[in-house]
Amino acid sequence: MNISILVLSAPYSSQGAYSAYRYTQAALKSGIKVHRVFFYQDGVHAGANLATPPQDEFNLYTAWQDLKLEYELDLVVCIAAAARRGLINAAEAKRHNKQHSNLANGFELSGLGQLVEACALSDRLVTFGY
Amino acid sequence: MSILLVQQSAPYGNSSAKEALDIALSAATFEQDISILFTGDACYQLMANQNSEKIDQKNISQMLKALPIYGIEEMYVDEDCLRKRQITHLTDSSSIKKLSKTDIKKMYQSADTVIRL
Amino acid sequence: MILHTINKTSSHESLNQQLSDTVDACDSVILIENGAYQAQQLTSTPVNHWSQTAKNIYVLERDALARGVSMSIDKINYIDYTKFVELSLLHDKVISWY
Repeated sequence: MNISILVLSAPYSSQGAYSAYRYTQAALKSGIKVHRVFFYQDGVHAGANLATPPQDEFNLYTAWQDLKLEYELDLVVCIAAAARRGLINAAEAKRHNKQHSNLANGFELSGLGQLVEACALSDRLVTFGY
Repeated sequence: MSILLVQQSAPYGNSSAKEALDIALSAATFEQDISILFTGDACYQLMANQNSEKIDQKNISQMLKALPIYGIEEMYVDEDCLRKRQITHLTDSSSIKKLSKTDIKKMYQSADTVIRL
Repeated sequence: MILHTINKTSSHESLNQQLSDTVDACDSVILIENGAYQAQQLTSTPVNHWSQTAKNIYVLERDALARGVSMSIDKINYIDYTKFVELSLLHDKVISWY
């Protein structure tokens, strides 16, 4: 059986982003296959390279990256939702003549087709809202 | 594999209505079986006479009208929510069927995946 | 059999009403995030409330502990994220009310 997770809320602003992480971590630790974590709407902010939580606060950004390194997780950020919210990778920066890019390592930009594919191929889709 | 996309947000005040539509279009592009349910404040998306260009936004009702062209024909609205909000003038909504709470409950039960936005 | 999650307090009446309209007797509900506060009020809900219909009511224990919600409320099952995942797979689908 495999699960996909849809994250709609930004880290810090809502607990939903954190709940999604803990849920994903628990699934992976119990040996459940996580097909994809798809970040949409304000959820795209999970991939913000420049986010800098204070040292004494939980760093959800690096937590996702560490989880990906440990389990080879597919972390997909919706490209359209991200672009609207000011998150782009190097390729998009070049395409749109932007000086810098800011998508964190470990996150991929892709279209909603990846969410639709996750629905089609996963046994469960679990949404974490705001 | 059937997807039930449940819309619960009014248009224009936040991006949910538009972003839900984008999911619907994507699902249709990939030829997935997708149904859309308008409930709660999402009923406002069905109101006639929307002039969203006044606030520099794309017109949700125009986009909804175009959905059948993309193969999205299963669209439903919670009739009770429509009534409570006293929405009488709907956009050309021949594709949108009114459902009772009981029918809606059945939709939730029979869908494979439910996405609420 | 549906697993519902709700992350809001009882003051979100419309959301709770939508959940009440949808929940079936074979469904379960997990209170997550601020939804954990609802665990304290379940003895005083009206007859059609989702808490009267749902088969099982769960609370994410970490969300309850974080908020000072009692860990010994009758008819509440306190669970961790691992159990949440397990319940996701035992039910046909998960619907998130937020």
